[in-house]
Amino acid sequence: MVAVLMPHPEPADAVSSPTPVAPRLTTLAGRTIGIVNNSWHCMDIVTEELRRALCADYAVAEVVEVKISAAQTLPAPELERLAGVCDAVVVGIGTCGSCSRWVLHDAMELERHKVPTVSLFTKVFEVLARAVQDLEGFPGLRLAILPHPLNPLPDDQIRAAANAAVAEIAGSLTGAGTGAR
Amino acid sequence: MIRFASTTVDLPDDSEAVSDYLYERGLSDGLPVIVPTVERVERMLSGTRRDPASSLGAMPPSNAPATVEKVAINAVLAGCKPEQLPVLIAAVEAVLDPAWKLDAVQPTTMALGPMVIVNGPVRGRADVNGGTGSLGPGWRGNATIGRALRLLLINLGGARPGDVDRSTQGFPGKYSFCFAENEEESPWEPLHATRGLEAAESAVTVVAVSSSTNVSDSTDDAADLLRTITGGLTNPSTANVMDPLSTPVLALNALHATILARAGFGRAQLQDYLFEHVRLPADALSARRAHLRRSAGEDLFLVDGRIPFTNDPGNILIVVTGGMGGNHSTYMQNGLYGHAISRRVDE
Repeated sequence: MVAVLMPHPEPADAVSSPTPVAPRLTTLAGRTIGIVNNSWHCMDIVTEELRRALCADYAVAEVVEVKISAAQTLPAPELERLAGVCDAVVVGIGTCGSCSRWVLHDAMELERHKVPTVSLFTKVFEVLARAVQDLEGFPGLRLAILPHPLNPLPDDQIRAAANAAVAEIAGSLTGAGTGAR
Repeated sequence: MIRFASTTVDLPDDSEAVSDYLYERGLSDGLPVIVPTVERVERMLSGTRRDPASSLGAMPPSNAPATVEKVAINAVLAGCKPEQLPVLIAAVEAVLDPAWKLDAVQPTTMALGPMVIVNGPVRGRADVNGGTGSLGPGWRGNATIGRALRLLLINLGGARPGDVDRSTQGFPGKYSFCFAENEEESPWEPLHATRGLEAAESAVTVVAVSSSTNVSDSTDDAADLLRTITGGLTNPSTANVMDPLSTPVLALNALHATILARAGFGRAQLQDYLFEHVRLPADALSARRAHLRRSAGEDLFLVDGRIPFTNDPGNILIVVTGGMGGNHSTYMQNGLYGHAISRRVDE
């Protein structure tokens, strides 16, 4: 037998204590909710449906949408602005590997700014989101999982999937959802 | 004797046993490994003057420090020799440059993986082939440097294929992709000398690519050859065209490069030519693809009414590799992340 050096990270390098997420809201009524739309076609439609449902069914006062490319994170000034004006933010959508990583990045940054968030993913990318949550030490981050594939579907089916997820998304911002681990 | 910081496990000094041990824990590319004993890792570290404890940066998504020690352990696993370690260190530094966006390359659904182009005197010492068969098997540097980089991305960065690495199909180049420029038979200055480094020093240029396309023509006529190259690069289906800032790679064999040089083309003239001629019609992309390209900025969508494969001629990487024997060059697509970064090899 010989001593074999391990190629993996050392336990001492792992995140030692989890980062807490921001406190949830008591209600969405009268609040300002942000939506980070990363420009997937399906996220355009999810944003439309969320805007309508949050205002009509949850008495949200205002929805603030920020549209970015799926290949980028929120620019710092936009993040600061959203954190300043929004009571909570929906970030979406992770429906590819890299954009899932950016969605998580933006959600974690907003949580660090004490803004409660929920991150949207399609089902195939849940495993990635959970793995990155663990690696980053953010076990409390709230995820809402939509069906996959979503982007290629006809618009009416994307709309239906978005509406089916509204209760989970809204609940994740008020602590009623099941997206926590 | 070096005082290592890494965990050790007592195992037989046996490649099969250690390969199985690591494979069962997801610390593997699937191929057998050389056992990283203390003695072998110490020998590997003789290839660099760097402090084993020094970190090249945090490797996402685990964000574990890529210490020279961890780089050396993975180099042993991959079959590297100490002479190859400095090239690997420079390649790790390149992918950890925030501009390379390893954060996104690791989990991407695309096929992207790092391709390492080696320039300068280190090519000989590190046994990296730039001549006949340079993109294929047969040379230790080509085979092991790219493999060691992949093992680091999996073992240290935590990008296990199918878990964090969400590549839809992957790409054989994700096992190992490293080659040298054929500076001796190239009609042009070395690639790294066009990227802010001295021609006499050694360097790596690392770019994420997702596939390769054969560009074949036995002509001796530059105009014919340009028509073939332009046709090969004008491709509406790759991820490269989704990204106006992409750094696509044209790897010319030395003969093709010489034909173009004889017709008066330097690298910069060829970049300009390709930028002007590799264009898609404005309606070439499907609705979903056009939507994504437009999200990078409406002003970047079209140049003079058509879609270029990258919006800056300077982004087109032209490298000369392979022998003088034949007709075959290669186009390799980039796209969205892993734009080319060059780093000096610290020997």
